[in-house]
Amino acid sequence: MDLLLSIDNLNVYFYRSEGVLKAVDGISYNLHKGEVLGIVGESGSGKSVSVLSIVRLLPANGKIVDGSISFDGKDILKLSMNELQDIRGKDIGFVFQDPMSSLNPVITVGQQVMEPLLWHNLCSREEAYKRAKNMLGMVGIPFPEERMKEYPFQFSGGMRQRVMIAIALICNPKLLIADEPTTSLDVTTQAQIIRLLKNMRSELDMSVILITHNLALTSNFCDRLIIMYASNMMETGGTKDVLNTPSHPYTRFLLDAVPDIEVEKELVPIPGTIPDLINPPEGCKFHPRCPMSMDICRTEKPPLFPVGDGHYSACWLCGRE
Amino acid sequence: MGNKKRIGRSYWSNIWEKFKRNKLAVFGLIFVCILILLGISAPWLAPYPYDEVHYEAVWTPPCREFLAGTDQLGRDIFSRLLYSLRNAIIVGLGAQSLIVVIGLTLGLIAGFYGGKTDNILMRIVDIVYSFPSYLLNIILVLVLGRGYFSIFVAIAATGWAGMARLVRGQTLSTKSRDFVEAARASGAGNNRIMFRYILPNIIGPVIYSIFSGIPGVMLVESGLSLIGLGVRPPMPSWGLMISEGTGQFLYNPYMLLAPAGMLVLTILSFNFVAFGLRDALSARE
Amino acid sequence: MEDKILISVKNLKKYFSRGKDIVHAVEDVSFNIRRGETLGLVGESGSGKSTVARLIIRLIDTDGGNIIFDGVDITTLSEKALKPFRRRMQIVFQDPASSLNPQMTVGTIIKEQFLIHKLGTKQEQEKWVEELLEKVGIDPSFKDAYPHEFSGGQQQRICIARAIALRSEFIICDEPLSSLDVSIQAQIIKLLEDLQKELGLTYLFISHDLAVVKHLSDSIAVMYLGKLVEFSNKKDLFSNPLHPYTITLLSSVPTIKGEEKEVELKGEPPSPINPPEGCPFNPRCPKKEDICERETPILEEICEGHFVACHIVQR
Repeated sequence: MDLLLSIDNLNVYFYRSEGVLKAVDGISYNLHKGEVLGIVGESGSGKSVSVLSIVRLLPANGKIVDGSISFDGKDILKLSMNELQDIRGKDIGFVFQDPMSSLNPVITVGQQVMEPLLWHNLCSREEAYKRAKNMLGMVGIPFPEERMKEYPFQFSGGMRQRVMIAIALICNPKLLIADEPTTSLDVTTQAQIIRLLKNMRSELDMSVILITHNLALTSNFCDRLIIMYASNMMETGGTKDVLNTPSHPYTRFLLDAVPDIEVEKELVPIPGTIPDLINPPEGCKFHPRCPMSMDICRTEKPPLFPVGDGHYSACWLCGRE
Repeated sequence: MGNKKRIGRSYWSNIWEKFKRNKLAVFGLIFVCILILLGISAPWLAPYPYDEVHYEAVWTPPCREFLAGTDQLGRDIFSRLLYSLRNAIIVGLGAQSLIVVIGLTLGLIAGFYGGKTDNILMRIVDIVYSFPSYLLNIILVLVLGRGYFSIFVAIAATGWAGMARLVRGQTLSTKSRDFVEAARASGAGNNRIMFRYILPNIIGPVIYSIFSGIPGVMLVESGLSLIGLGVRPPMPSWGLMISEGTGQFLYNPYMLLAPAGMLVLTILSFNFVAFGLRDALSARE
Repeated sequence: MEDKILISVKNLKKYFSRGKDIVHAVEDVSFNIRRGETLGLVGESGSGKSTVARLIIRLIDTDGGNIIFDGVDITTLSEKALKPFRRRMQIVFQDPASSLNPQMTVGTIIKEQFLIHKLGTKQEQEKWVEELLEKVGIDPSFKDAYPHEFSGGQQQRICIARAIALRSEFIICDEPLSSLDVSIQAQIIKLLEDLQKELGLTYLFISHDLAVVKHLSDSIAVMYLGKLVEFSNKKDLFSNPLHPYTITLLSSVPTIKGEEKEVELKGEPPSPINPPEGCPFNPRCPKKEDICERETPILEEICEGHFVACHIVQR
């Protein structure tokens, strides 16, 4: 498979009045064409920031201080704002958590779906209209022609998220970034949206990065997983490998701490709380909550140790012979 | 306890922390304090009584003897400025207190009880709001006669409506917050909910509104004195002094610039405090 | 075993008016909760499950039906007559940050419970507060800290401490986990379980997360558009779901095993403003027949302790 995206030693810092917050602390990964990558983590784990950095969409106090990002052969960090804007929305589509605040309430849905095509001068207005209509049909909106004239408030939550997906996909992007796309939706709608994303991926042959806090959601959608905790990558590997043979204590905890509808089990809560990222713990960020922590965990940050085929784990336990 | 951790920082000490970060607001607050002190101690600080005439020294430009010059009757403008400040502060605080008492009570009642009470009170507020307030101020002062009290009443008669609306809105939104529901579910009575749960949580915006309202009140008072309805002369007031200075602007500009400058300075410093408060109150952790 | 029933809800109704429209928030909901057990109330947004919670705890008044708490009908009791019952039932909300008065220290927040009900001396109250904090896993020396100084999980623990302060028997948990992080959720689940064991609490646990509900509940009620569509003990509901909505709901939950499931729900939940005639689920139901559009199915016992409101299943 061809490489689409390659991130190497990415460091993103947020400059706050209380101090410097390392939002992403040295992360590297690759994404191949057609691949679906799941990035799983809790709030503040840096999962969104690590992905939004790909198009340099960061808050004003955020800065990429180190690392390199190469997308489709281009060095993202060296691009001008104009060149970046060419990539945003055209080569990379976005779907965010809250479909209501992501849509403009005073512009018709049809216009909003057409807009990326028109901004990027990809086709004429008539052509854009036709493509928008087709796309809305493809994402499962009944009567697309009529509904194009309506405004976002006339759509339900699930339908709005479908519109967001249509906007993200209208330019045939090479990469779709879905940041918690189903968190604000009901379970049944969530199942619909994940199924839709799956179908669209195979139909349009694009890569997808799914950012989520729900491990179960990745299980039949993602090819590969990255588990993040406190701005660091804890474990990465094929979805089946990570879920069936988790090697990092944090991943194991995540699996044991979340009730599963199919498996009756005793819950093992992770003790403690998520660390303060302005004064993070030394060494492995998880060590204060880890029952298996050793002396080395307190002082040295573990590198990614191979634990299987393409399966890596940032844990000193895996580094021992 | 013996715990070394920094705990127990209340809501208010947090707001104060944030307020302190805003240099302009702190500067404004210091200035407001100085102004209030100056106003209070005007009778002792003023080099001359405000109504002492010096016929030998009419229209003297600022000099060592008369720090801000003298007016057409040879009265010391510096002393008159101090007394005007005192008047402005008395009127500002007095009228604002009356506004808070009326507005807070009615707004709290309307927002808390809702239903018919709310409907009736808010229609009254709408009516008061739609009145041309300056006109009403003038009429009231004419009816009640000149003096501090009638100025308070005249200003508060229209000013309370805005406060009532603010308090009602705040009460409504606080009332539906989960901690109030939780208290209600525990059996807390109306008084307890009103005074321990709602009032402390709406007081921030009320204080902001007091500070941001004072300049307005001072301006109304100046406006009334400008047309001769403010405090009774020879007691000076900025409005009166400005109106006297306007005619002299070409010959003795200090007569206009001094009171106008003081007015602007006072209003600005109150506004800076108000803006700082607003930012501190709205900033989220 | 009627005497074991702590709370019983019969034909509960609640309508809200929104302008000219009437929102059918809760319609004919009935269920019992036995002492010491947990009833999981499941439904999607707009199904009326939170309204049921607020009705039971008398934060809002009913438009019909009865709430019977320990044999006493509390549906229309005056606030004064209700006060002894308020001591016996408490609620934990979804968002712990907004459930705690930002102007009070957490010690005062808990102490309020004793002040409202005039219990204990000052020293006793202080002692109780410390015991309660200890019990929910908060260092009692933090009692003079303010809510904003705690993390979300800790805030939820404080809310739970407040809820158990009066030794209440019945606690409604209204989505208590949905604003918390995954690793924190398990801590709170565990805490709720431990407290139930220790204090013999009865829970009404409201959630949209079926996996959590399955983990915690003894019996489960499924709501759709203000109506109860299925009610059963946990085992039967998950091994043998009967209502078509329950079946689709269960198959929509993602699992770690990640097997592809065939049933997928078409369409969107209709609005509770103009609910469909007949069965509320009929526009989306794969098994729909004519009768479903005409007649509202009534909740009927199909096999022991398993109630379903569906014409097709009832035949």
